[in-house]
Amino acid sequence: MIDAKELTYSYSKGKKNAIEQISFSVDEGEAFALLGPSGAGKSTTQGILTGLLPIQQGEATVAGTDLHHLSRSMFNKIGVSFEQSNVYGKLTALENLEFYRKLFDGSAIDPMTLLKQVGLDQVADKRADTFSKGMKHRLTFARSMINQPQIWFLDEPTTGLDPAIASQIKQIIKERKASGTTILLTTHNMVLADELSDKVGFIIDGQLKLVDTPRNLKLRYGEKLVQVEYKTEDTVKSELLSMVDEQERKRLGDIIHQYEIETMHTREATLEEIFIKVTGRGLV
Amino acid sequence: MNRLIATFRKDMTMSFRSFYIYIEVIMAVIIIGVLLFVVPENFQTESHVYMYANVEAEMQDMLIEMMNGQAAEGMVLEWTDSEQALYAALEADRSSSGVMISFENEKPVFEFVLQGYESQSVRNILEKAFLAESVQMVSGYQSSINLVILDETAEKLPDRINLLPVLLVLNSALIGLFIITSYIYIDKDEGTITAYSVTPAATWQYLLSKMGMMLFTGTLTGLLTVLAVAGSRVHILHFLIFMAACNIFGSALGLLVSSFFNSMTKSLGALYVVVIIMGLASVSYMMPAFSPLLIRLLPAYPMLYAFRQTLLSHPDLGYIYFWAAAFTAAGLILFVFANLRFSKTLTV
Ligand SMILES: Nc1ncnc2c1ncn2[C@@H]1O[C@H](COP(=O)(O)OP(=O)(O)O)[C@@H](O)[C@H]1O
Ligand SMILES: [Mg+2]
Repeated sequence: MIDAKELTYSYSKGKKNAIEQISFSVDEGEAFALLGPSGAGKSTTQGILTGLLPIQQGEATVAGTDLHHLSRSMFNKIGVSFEQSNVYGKLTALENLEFYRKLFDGSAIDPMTLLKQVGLDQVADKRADTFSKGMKHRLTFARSMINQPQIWFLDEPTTGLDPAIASQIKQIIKERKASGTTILLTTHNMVLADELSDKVGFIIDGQLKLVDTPRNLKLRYGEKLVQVEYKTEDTVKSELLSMVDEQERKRLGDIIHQYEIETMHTREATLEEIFIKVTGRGLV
Repeated sequence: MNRLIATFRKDMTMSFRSFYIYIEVIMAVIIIGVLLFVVPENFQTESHVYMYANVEAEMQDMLIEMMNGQAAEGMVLEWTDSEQALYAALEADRSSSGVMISFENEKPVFEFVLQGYESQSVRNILEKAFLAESVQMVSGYQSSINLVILDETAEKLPDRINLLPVLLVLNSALIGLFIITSYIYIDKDEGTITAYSVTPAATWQYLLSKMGMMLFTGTLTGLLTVLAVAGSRVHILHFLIFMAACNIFGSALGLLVSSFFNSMTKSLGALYVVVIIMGLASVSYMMPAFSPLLIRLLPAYPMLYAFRQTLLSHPDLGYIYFWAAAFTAAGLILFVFANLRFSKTLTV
């Protein structure tokens, strides 16, 4: 459904590349997460694939359309949610969706149903310029699926939302994924990528460092860790120890001998820990 | 087409909820108010008569003294010292008239120089006034009067109505320019222009809808203004068509300007330059004697005169429709450029 080959893009006429030689593909029904810190080039990649930025170098096909020969009808098949919410402040939530649906051919989801899904049905008739940031973001998100897209582009779908709403949004994404929607997700949130995607691409400084399934990544890079809680004289202490590192294994042995153990779990490395290991850098 | 209609309806809804449309309406109301209640119907109550006496110096002094003393009330005699000077004065002051006096075979010959719009009765009065004086002045006078008319087609509008074209150009073409750019920047700021770009709707539909909105509100406020001030004098059909052409031109220009800048503040400089350049044409319109070629080449110049034509009792339809077509064509060309630029300059 999405096929990107050696995409390179510069905002400054070739002086500095925002992304370089990015290649990946997303199959039908698959969810792909572009994972990387801010400024890595995620939004730029999404911008090219959604036709917002002109394709400068490389090749890309989205839903069967060659982006070098963009046709407006491609947009019937894709939905785009933006990092920065962008709705008409002068229109109500409902009017925003009513208008947007008319721009597409084919059947659309009923605006009220969508508003209910993202918890905005109570304020359907309120103007969007009275909304909080989170509400605007939810409206932007809801709008992106109004045309029942085959391919859904989600740029930072949960960033900046409070946890309850974030999990609501995650739930909606899961549902649409289950019904066969192809998803390209960009995020700097490892947990989200881990939870929602079939494949993850690590992107940093405009380069795609590696692509694999979260499970393979964990098997390949993840060391087994032990989280141990133990009692000293009056407090409970907690330590995270690697089972690969010789010294830390010894430390675990010492703890077991010297203290009373409260809890002990093995756990896998998180994607975040792997990201740091692969790229040498954190995600913030 | 459905997408265009949906976009147009959305734009109209939003415009009624923004204050820009009220600027247009308020401007129209201010213009009406000023024209009706502040500007007198005619600026000058006294009329100037430019005189030139083609006689010897002594004779001239005597003539000047005599005639000044006898000038009718409300008539101011201004003496010039050559035929050319007299014509220039008449062209600069379109509400004046002129008289040249010379002697042929010891008999005075009066040559009346009129603008062309004066009615027959005015001509008669002038003739009579000078005839009476001349009879007292020189014995053996025989009437020999030549009438020279400066512009056969001239029609004088009351000053109040004559001002209308200036304000119409200002309101519809120029204020419209600012307003359409403001609308574009609202969309740019909100990012909604980006959201619109990832739908099957094309950029030209987005832009055309904005132009349609300006056309609607601009033509409507223009029509209200002209009806309130000029009433039934205006030729509504010609006026509407020309007004629409000006709106197309003005809003396409606005679109093009806004395609070059990222914010209203950055584009203000360019907009002011456009306004000032266009405004210069009004100066020439008000003072026809000052009409350098450079000013006559400005789009606002024919715009003013074509608006004026729609207010005359015998409008020059060729002029109106030539310029209506020209402004529409120019507007479409600007639109094509704006569309090309917008299609390229959208960013995430
Ligand atoms: N409109 C723009 N003009 C110039 N540079 C930009 C623009 N947008 C992004 N960049 C630069 O391109 C790089 C990638 O940015 P972006 O794709 O937004 O990263 P991400 O979405 O991963 O945070 C960054 O260095 C950023 O500063
Ligand atoms: Mg981004």
